[in-house]
Amino acid sequence: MLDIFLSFFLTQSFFAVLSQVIALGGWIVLAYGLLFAGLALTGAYKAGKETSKWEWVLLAIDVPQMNVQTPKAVEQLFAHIFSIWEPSSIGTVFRRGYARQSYSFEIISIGGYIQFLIRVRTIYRDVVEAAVYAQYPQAEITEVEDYVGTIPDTYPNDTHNIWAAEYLLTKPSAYPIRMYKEFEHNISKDTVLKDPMGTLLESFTRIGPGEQVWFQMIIEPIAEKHWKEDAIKEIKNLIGEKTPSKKNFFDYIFDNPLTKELAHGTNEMLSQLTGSEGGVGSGESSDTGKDSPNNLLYLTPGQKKLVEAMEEKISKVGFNTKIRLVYSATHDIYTPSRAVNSFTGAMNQYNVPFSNTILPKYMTSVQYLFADQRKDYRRRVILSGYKKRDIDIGKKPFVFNTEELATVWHFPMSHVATPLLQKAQLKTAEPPIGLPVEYTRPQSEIDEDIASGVRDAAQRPRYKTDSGEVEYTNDSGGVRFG
Amino acid sequence: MNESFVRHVVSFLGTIVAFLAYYSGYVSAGHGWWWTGFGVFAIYLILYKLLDV
Repeated sequence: MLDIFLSFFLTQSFFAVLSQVIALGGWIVLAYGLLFAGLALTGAYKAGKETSKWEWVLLAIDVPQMNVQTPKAVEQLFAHIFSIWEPSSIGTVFRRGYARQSYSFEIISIGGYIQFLIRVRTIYRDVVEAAVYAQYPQAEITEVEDYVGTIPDTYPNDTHNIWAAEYLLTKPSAYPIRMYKEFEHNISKDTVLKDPMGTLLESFTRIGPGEQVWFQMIIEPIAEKHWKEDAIKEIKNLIGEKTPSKKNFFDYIFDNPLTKELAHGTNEMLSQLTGSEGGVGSGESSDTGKDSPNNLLYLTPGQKKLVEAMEEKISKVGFNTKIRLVYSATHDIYTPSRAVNSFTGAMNQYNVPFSNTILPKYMTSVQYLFADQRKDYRRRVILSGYKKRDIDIGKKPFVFNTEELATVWHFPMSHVATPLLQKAQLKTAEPPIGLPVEYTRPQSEIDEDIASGVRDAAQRPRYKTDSGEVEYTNDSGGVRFG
Repeated sequence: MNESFVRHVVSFLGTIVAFLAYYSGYVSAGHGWWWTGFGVFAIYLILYKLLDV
C-alpha cells in the first residue's frame, strides 16, 4: 500500500501528480475555496457600500438628581432597543448589503467631569430616546459633538500617550457575571441596592485637567441561534447530559437491529461455553445506570446554582458586546494608574470566580519581545476600534444578555454621590393638553386664497387645537376661533 | 475597488471553477469520467452551505 502511494508521488512528474490529484477530487476543494472567496467578497463589498451611507448621532444623557430607578429600568431599556435587530438573508447580504446594527454606550470623564453617552444611527435615534424617556421621563437628551477627535491617532506621539484595553470574559459567554440583583443588601436600612456604578464613577473622578478616561460598550443585537445553542451545550456538559451523536455511515452498517441480535447471540453462546456471567439478562442489569438522562441529582449546591444562573441568562435576549477603556493624557501628567487600576477594581465587582470574570485581556501593557513596538501597535488598534466604534477590531466580542448589560452600564441611583457627574438640572413637565399647534395648509387652499385676492390671510400661519382651528389675528394676542 | 471590479473577480472565480470541472473530466477521460460527474454534485452542496447566511 505504502509502495503504491510513494510510487504515485515519486515516479511521476510534478505536473502529472498535480493533474491526477485535481482529477481525483482535488478540484472540489479548490472550487469550495474559490466559491467561498467570491461570495465572501461580494458580501463584504455590499456591506461596506451599505454602511458607508449610515449616519450616526451621539446623544448625551443626563438623568435627574433624584434618580430612584434601579438598573432594572436600564435592563428594560436594553430589551426595548433590541428591536432594531434585522435577520440576514440572501437578498440583504448579496443584493442590498447587510451589516449588523450596533449601539455604543459610553461613559467618559474629561478632566474629572463625567458624562453618559449613547451613539446610535440617526434613523434609530427615536428608538433610543423613547427607551430612555420611557424609564426616565425627567432625563435630558442632547445631541453633542463627537469627542474622540481630541486625542491623536498615531503612537508614539509627541504630545500625548494613552493606556488602552479591551475587557474580555475569561470563560465562554454561557457563564454569567454577577448581576445587579446580587448587589442587593437587605440588612441595610437606607440603601437596599449597593450600586456598583458608584465605584466605577468614583474611579473616573480621580483624574484632573488634561486627562481623559473613556469607557465604551459596543453592543449588537444578535439572533438566538448564534449563542444560545452553544450555551445549552455548555449546560448539558455541566449536568452530564449525553447528547445523541449524529449517525454516520458506519453506524448504519454496524449499529442496527440485525448486528445487535448477532452480537447478543454470540455473547450468549460464549457465556454457555465458558460458564462466565454474561448470558441472557446480564446486559440489562448493566444498562440500568444509562437510563438516567443526566447527573443533575449529583451536583453540588454551588453547581446547581451555576446551572440555574446559566439558564436564566439564556432566557433573555443577547447582544454581541465589546468593552474598551482608554486613558489619555499629555506626557507631563500621564499617570494611568490614577484611573485604570480603580476602574479594573470596579469591574472586579462583577466577577464570580466559579462562573465568569471580566478582565483586561488585550491591553497596552506588554513586557517582552519588542515590548515598545507591540505596545504602540496595540494603542493604535484599540484606539482605532474605539474611535470607529467597530466591534470587530481587536479580540472577538462576547455575548451579554440585557441583565448583564444593565449591570455594567446604568445610571447611578440617587445615593451615589459622585460630585462631577452631569445630571439634569431642570425640572420638566408635560405641556397642557390642547395647546394650539401650527400646521401647514394644503397648497391648493393657499393658491385658492391668493387667487381670490386674500393674500395676507393665505400666508398667515394657521393653528389648530383638539377643538378645532384657532386663528391669531395679530401678535398682541388677539384670538378669533374659527 | 468598485462594483464592476468585484463582479469581474467573482465571475472570474466562477469560470475557474467551471474550468477545473472540465479539466478533471478531460484528464480522467473515458475510463473515469463518472468520478468527475459525481463530483459536480458537490457544487450543489457547497453552494447550499455557503448561502446559509
